[in-house]
Amino acid sequence: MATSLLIINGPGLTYSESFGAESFDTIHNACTDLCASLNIDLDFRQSDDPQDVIQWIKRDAASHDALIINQMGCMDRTPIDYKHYAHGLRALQALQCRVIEVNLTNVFRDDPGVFTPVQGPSGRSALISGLGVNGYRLAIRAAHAEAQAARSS
Amino acid sequence: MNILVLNGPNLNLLGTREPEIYGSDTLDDIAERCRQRAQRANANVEFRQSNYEGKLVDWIQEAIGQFDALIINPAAYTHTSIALHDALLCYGGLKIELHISNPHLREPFRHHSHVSTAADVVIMGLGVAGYEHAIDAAIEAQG
Repeated sequence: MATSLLIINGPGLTYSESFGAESFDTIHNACTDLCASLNIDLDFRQSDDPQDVIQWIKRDAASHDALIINQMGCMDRTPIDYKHYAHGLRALQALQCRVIEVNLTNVFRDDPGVFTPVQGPSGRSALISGLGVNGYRLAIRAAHAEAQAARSS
Repeated sequence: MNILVLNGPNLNLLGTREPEIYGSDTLDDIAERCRQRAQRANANVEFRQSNYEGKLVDWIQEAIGQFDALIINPAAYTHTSIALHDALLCYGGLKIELHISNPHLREPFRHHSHVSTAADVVIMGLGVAGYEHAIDAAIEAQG
């Protein structure tokens, strides 16, 4: 059975300032290409509205092997109430599926004290920060390997 | 490409220490898998562990100009060691901070990292597989 992944990209990720030279299309294409080569069913989404992100987490994540989430892009350019959004992201704690958070930059170094990692389900929540688009590739490979290992055990 | 993997305190007990958190693989098992993984891309991996903070500082300093990438699981020193932070700032290669579990989902005293602000990349919560993924990331980053 093919691995099924949901990738959610939050507010601000379509601004080019979020990740230097890499455009959002670059990320989308990298994820689509890698998932095609690994025969993974991919559902790839982005919204600038925090409510969409929260709703997708609550409604759609549980039917996938893993959720890969980049909660937001350039914080300075994103006109949302971050505290309110972070509160909504607590919906992740109730999930049973694997959660891997991806940040394009090292948010701990670049946004010290501002950024809160998403709090996924205990023991099933990972974070990859600072690898640019390769962070998505790593998250996809990791989630796929885990899903396939779980199927064969 | 030469990659140095450093491991901090108590990681020598991996496989026996709290296996429900850290898994049943030993550090030697992981080191062997990392070497094999790197070999496929013609990269070399040097794998070390110490319980002593100063030893880890010495190794980071020795890595300057000798290794293209540094992967460090600082373990409990993550949350206490400004010395590791300072040493890492002196190292110019790619720096990956690696944790087996996700410290942010554990006790509050594990939520702050002195290492993250000196690292280029942070990977946490992928289990012991995170080591091999970090090797891949280092190789991929060098492109």
